[in-house]
Amino acid sequence: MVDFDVCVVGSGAGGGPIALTLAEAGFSVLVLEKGPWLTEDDFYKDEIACCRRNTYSRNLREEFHVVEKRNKGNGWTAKPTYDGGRDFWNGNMVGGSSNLMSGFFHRLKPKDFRLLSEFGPIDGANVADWPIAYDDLEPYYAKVEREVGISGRVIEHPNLEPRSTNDYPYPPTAEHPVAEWFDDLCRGEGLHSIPVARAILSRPASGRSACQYSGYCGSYGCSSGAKGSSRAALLNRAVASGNCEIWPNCHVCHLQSDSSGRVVSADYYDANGVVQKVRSDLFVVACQAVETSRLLLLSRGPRHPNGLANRHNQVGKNLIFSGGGAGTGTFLYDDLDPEKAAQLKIRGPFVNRALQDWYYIDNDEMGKAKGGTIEFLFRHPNPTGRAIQQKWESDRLLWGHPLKNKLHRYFTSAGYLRFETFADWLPNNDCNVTLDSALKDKWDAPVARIKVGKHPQDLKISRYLARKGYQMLTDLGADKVSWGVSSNPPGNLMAGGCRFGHDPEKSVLDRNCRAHDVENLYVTDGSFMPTGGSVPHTWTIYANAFRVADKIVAEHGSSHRGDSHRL
Amino acid sequence: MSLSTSHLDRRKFLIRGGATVAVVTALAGLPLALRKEMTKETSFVFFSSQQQQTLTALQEHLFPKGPDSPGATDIGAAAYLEWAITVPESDPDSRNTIVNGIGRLQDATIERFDTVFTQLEFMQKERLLRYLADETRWGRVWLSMVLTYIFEALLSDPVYGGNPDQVGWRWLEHQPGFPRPPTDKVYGKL
Repeated sequence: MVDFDVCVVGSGAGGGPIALTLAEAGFSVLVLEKGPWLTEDDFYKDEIACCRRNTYSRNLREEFHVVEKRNKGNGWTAKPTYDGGRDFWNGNMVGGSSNLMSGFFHRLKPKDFRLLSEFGPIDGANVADWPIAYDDLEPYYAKVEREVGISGRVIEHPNLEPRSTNDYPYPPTAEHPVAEWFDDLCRGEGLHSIPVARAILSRPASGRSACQYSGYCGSYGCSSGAKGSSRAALLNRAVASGNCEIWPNCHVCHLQSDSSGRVVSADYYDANGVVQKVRSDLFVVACQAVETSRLLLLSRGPRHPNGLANRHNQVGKNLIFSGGGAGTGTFLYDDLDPEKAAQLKIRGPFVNRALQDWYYIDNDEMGKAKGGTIEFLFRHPNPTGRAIQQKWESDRLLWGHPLKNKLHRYFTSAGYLRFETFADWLPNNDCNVTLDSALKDKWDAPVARIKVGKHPQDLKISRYLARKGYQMLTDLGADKVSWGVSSNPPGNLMAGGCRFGHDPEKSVLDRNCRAHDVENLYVTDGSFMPTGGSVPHTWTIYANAFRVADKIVAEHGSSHRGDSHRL
Repeated sequence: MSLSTSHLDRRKFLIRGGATVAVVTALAGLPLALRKEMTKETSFVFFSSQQQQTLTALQEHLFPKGPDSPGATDIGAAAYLEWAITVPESDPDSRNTIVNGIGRLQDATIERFDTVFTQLEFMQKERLLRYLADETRWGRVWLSMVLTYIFEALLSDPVYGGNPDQVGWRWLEHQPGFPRPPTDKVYGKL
């Protein structure tokens, strides 16, 4: 006897589509989420709560990660995140980090599904083709457009992905006048200015309001419900179906398996810190890449002595992030004609422009290589964050009137446009998740140790793209452009660790994201991705989770529906 | 890619033993009148009167009032900092860093000038702080952190006690986002 047909661990972009699809198909679904259940009534444009303190993540003294980075001596140095100021939690609440995303949505391209075949092996990288093709996922990309709510405008360009629909279901979000500057420049230079689709409603739908254009989006929870978080777009509807329960503040610490190898229950700490147990027929893990691998590694059982789904020691391997660089252009108001200066001061609408002219590269300088996306946007408006960067002059701390003059000049004399580049973070043997052998969290469980080795090819591509971004901002009239590339991983753009594939010895999941060696266990966050594409991962995670949900319904619908006995 | 959500400086540095002990030791060599002045009661709950006066003088030096711009006192920097390091969810490391830094500043002042920081002339303060920022690791970390809290007082929502009447936002022509937080939905209450 089970308590639910399906138990979903984690409620973000990987969990929401499963909960909605299965609940609407008649399965009884439980979603366990370690964070609280916040709603639109809890989200305000409050930099302190949002971004200066860890309101939406864990107390790093109690729950942290150990990050292992290459040091200057070419060895490795490991530090716990409470001691390093970096944080790999990305939003512990119902809906997960999708509550806080910027919602720049791009599909992967057909070649992204067969990177090995298209570009060949790369020394030191574990590049692999996906076990599915773009065509398998395309219907689900389209489904996400409808179900999550994506606003945009399709234009023809050389790297446009094949589409089953002509355009997005929602018109583009309001565009900032700077978008037109950008379009003009691209026309002159023979480039293709792409209107970026956003997972943000441009008009009300499904009980959600349209975007209110406050100018504060990324890193903030959405107070209108326009942002297509898993919570606002999917989980509310799953609960409304009557077949889905969400239990917040429940931290799953172990998945119990029986002598046959099947998962039989999830052990979790409830809001009072008491260990509880819930039984289910199917289990879907979607805790975001690092914590998903950690949970599987922690979940040893009689048939899984090295952790669930880890018979061939693949869990945690080939963790990936998004490789990239960034730059900021300073546009002095005094250097612009008054009309343009006035335009630049407008706050609220989005720039929403990207270039993918170098998504694939084939030239003398770089040879044939996979490139990436360059996204153009305003510098984030958080004032304290911006002010803090002004306190240093070279390596010297500033204060007094020199600091105040600099601050005033920075805030009032210029506008700031940014670019961010997205490139593959090539999977490699130095980027993975293991259990730390010494440090434990407040639950007395080993914390995840994240090794973040980056392949040199990624830096080369990132530098190439960043130089293009630099040139664009310069050509737009920036007084100066500061830019750089980094080997540090963006903690909010993680994937891999449980890659899917045909070969059980080289992958954790099968093509439908079911564990090769655990018949009732699925993983549906970004962990499945063997390679990440050169775009943010979220749309693909949503789409794949909808795809897997359909597979579960097809395979288990008749045998499981309505069998459970609620607690 | 979203913006970095870096928190307050967490860099480790050697924290001396109890700040209170250090301050009492340092005060022992000062004139009685000065000691009385420094230990009088104030409205601050966490900081002692002496700590509060030192902190206020320091913040005003780091962020002075200008003819058309607010200073540390105008933006409520001292009261904001006290809230920031005493709210239950605050990071104990940051709290210790701030408190111990005040003690170390007093030690350094007395050692060099045989008086307390509040009694120093402008250039004496400037030379001392410049030395601490440029030549000592703890001073650099601590002063950087004090500045960060000043920026928070200047630019966070007034609901937190700094930035009264949006004085910081108005000075820097900053347009806040909306909706703004009500008092029952702020950090520590969510």
